[in-house]
Amino acid sequence: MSFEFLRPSAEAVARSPMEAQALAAGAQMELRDGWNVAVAYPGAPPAGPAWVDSSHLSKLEVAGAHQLTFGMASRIDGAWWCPVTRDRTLVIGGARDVAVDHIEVTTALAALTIVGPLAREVFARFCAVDLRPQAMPVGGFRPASVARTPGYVVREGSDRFLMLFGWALGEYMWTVVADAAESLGGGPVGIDALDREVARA
Amino acid sequence: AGAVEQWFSWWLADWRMQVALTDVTQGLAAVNLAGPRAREIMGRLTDLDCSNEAFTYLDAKRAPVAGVPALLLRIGFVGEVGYEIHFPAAHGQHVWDAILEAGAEHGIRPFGLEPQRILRLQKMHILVGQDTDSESTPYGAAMPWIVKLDKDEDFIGKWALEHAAEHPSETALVGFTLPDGDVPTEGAAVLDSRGEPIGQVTSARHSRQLGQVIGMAWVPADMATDGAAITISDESRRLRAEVLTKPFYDPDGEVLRS
Repeated sequence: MSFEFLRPSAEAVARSPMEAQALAAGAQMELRDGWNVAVAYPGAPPAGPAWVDSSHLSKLEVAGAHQLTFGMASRIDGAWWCPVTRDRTLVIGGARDVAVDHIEVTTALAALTIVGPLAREVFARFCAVDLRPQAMPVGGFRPASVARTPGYVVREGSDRFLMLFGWALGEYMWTVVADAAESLGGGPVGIDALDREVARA
Repeated sequence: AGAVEQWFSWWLADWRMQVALTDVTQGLAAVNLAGPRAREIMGRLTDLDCSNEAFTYLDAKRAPVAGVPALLLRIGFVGEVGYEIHFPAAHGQHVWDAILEAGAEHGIRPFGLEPQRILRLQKMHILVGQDTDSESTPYGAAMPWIVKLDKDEDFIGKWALEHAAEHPSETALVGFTLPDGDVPTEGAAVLDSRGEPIGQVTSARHSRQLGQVIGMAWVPADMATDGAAITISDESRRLRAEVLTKPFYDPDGEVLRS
């Protein structure tokens, strides 16, 4: 059976479940690769931790045995290959077409990237996962309870974490992260700011 | 969805089958387009042949709708020609807007849960867990057509259903009407002539379309005949109702299958 109906189409605008909140925060939106994404916000970047709506990232679930190391995500061709179980891998980002059988879960999981020196502090306010470098180094991957819902966390950089959670919980999760981050002087930033950070690194 | 995933996970763990299970519930948005003009509006949204001959009642198709890949289910929970359209959740706003635009000249309007509840009740389409409980069987719920005991393969529940088929249910789920406008509380007791509880109301609403109060109730099987009188006890009220064993609207399903 074809599962084509799971896959977002380039023929129609795709939107994050957190778009309304991004707009309320003053987001400047642009259409990129079929997705209406928040590329920037007015004013200076926040002094504290920042969060970015990364829900447009492709996500695929690959079934079958693998050689990946549990607890770590592997960076392959621009994508994170994350071993969830012995025979299930979550592939985040990168090209949409992978040369193995997979299930499209791009719109089953929304995503927020949390960055900045206080990023761990933000997580600590709604997630019990040990994100200290000795427990979760760069590339670390954890299926976890995030704000009391099933999710995943990838440590993409020393101060950068990618968090995935159920698509239907987008509004809730934005509220949780905003509540946690704003008290630390944080705020949302657009994906262009994230790309600039990657370029600097 | 959570309960279904639990069942599947339990079966897979128990039987140790080589099967991968992925819950994509949140990955799909869904819209139910229903009504006398549903087919015409669908025709503006997709190149799929939506004629009754090509896309029959209870059939499923995969086709783009408003440019978005979709799974289409021609089902009729609300009793009219209708399509459940399932598509990637990120396109929710796009598809919603496209449907409203396509149906604008026909006065299309979104409808919520309460009208849906009334419309499905008019068809006596059950809500599992509300109109049924753990003791209910398809036979008692007047849905013997849903059981396919002639399948060669074994299936979950087959033994129990075979047993139920051989032992007629002592109770039956029926429809009822009330002449005087009182809507009984869901859960109200059905009484016998001595005032003893013998059943209960599972659903009840006033139907503006039909101009009367309708409902469903479990009653002793020997009371499951058209026109039978039943008494409903609802707090201090005693309500006289009349049994109906077929749907209040489109009893033979002609509209659904049109």
